[in-house]
Amino acid sequence: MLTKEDLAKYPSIELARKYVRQLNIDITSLADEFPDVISRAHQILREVITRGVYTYLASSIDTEILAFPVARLFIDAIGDEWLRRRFAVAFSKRVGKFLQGESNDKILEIARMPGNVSESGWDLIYEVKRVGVKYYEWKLHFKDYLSVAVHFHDITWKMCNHPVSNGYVRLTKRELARLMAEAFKERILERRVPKRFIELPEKIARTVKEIEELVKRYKKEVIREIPIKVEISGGVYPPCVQFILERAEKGENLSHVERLFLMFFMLNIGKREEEVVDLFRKMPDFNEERTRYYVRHAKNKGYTAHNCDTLKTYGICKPTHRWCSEGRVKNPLTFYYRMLYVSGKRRSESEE
Amino acid sequence: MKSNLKTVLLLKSLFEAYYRENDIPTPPHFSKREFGFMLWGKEGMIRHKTFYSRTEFLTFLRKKVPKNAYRSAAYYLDPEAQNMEGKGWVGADLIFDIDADHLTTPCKEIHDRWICMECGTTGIGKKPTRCLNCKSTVINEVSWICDQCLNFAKDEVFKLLDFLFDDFGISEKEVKVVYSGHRGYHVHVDNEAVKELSSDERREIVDYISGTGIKVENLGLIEVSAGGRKFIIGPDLTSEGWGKRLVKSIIKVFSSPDLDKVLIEAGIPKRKIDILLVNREKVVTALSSVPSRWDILQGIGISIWKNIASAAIKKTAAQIDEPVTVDIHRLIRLEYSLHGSTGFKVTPISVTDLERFDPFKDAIIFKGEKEVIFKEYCPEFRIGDEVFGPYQKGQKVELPLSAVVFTLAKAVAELL
Repeated sequence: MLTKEDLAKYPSIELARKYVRQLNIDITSLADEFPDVISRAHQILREVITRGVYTYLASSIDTEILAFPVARLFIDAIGDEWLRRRFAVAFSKRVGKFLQGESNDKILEIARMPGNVSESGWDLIYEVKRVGVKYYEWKLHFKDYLSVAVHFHDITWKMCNHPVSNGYVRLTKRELARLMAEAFKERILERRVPKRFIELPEKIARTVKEIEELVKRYKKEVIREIPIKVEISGGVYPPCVQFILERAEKGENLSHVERLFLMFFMLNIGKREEEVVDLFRKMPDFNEERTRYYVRHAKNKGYTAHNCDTLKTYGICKPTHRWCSEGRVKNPLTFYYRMLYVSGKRRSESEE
Repeated sequence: MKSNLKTVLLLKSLFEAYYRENDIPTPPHFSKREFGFMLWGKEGMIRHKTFYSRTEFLTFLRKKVPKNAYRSAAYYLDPEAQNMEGKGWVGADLIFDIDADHLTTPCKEIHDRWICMECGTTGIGKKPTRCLNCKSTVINEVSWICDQCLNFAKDEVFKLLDFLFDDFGISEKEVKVVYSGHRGYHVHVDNEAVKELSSDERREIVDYISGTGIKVENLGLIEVSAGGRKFIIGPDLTSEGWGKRLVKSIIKVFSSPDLDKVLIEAGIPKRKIDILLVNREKVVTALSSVPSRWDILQGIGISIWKNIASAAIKKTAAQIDEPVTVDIHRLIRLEYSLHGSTGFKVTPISVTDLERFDPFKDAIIFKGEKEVIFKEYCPEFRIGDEVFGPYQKGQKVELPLSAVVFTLAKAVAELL
């Protein structure tokens, strides 16, 4: 049975939404009667923007429950996609941590209830099975597993790397928590109110303006809002690299393997450390120090870019160019150098 | 290769008689499906067609007499809409295509041919990248079918069904196997859980069935240290999914007379192969026990087991054509229609009848005899219990009507 504290820990679930609806508070009275909620929502977003974390204040449960929809309303009013993603990722990381420490009954209740992790709820069963040295505690129907796992590009999330039987995929508690956290993130990104439908009272509009300013400042100083310097279309990059770059430009969360691949590829074609770091600035969980460390490490080690076969298994290969679909390149770097040669040749021909 | 008018007219009249004399069943939820047709003597395909009644469907087939007929795997709100956005995709059956053309079979070297479109040079087997005579790259492949390649395809269907039943929990009544009328089989899964799967989710299912992206460490095959010693542990027969399949496949490989060939192909060094061959029975017993014992042979470490595992995975994976499963707007052959390249019936088969199903007998519909002249070399083929050919170019032969239709539709012969 979920408690009110659970609603504060998981304020996006259906029960929390129902609880907020029952309070019947409109946005005007919120500013006047519950200034704590407004300032908590403000604080949440400040921390999300500057540190990429969604903190938890156990001291005031009601405020915590209410601050979530208010923070989301602010995000909708600002209409900034980078902020929306950064908020969803930070919230999902918090949810993942809470879920790992949760009792089995609570996990079942949250996962199965319609509207929390999916429209109809997940078909999830608690059942312990040992395979080798690994203990699996959960099994999830493959359709629910796939709905989330396809967003991960890490090979360990491929269904073939999990025990699958009679329609169910076995998961450890840690894996289930990660999947549920991702589902929470996707639900946040799915639901949005268009900016034009939002009218805010003066007092709240001021707070929203402050957050908007902070977003702008942060983007200017940290993300530096420099467009990723690549020729997105018609360029010399192979389709797999272009696809990742387009997503990086939009600020979508790239998987670990995608980040490594992009990093290795760019270093191999001679991009400078600074240029490679810049490619990751729009990531919702961007951390300059960590990114710089990875890039420097990769550069020192001299890693080469993954082969096409490896990229295929990670689902990163996008064989939209005939060189790829006809198997004429074995490594994306070959594509790049060959295209560079061909386009250089074409240019010099047209100049003649 | 184009057929002459007389040939086209005969084939069309035979198809017309088939559609007139048989009440072709409509596919499930037919009013929500898109249909597509290719007509005799006409280029291109009529798409975005829909039927609101069974009578309308039958009348169309009888009037238009399609050379090839297709229907969508998907259900739409408005199947007639001219573009995909307008159709309103509601869901789609999960479809798998197993095509003998994509399988490596020894018979291809005997019956497949190629023709250089520049200089006319021909050859047997897989087409070369460049013509052996004029070095042109414009080469046409002429593929053939025989018992061997269609049996290979059927074996792949059985492998696929095993995945669907055991791992995905799909029941037999939710699965329909259809002989495509030419080189292979289609497997349709009509189950609520799969209807709304996206393309990416379907691709992941293909990867599962074809074993793409497996890391054996994730199946539990690892080396662990204890008490200053290293041990190899791994999945056993009580494992699930690929773990169990891996153990079963290695046991099968070690029980087969081809073990040495498999080990050489897996890149195992000669010295290690000798150890494995001598101890093959020991391996079978150790892996058949629960828990399994992987650490039984001195000199056979984790890297050797990983190589063996990769070879075993390839043997167990089913070879399915990925684009067909992933495309949620795909048109597939209409059940009970006739295939324009063979005259064979696109035949649904129940899972229990699959073993006995004989495409060269059970998909044959035409009766009677006719004389034809061969305009190309025609490899041996079988219709029912009778084997025909091979026939040389220019040879005149009187053949049963089903064999006539087959050779005319394959465009190797024409009517006199």
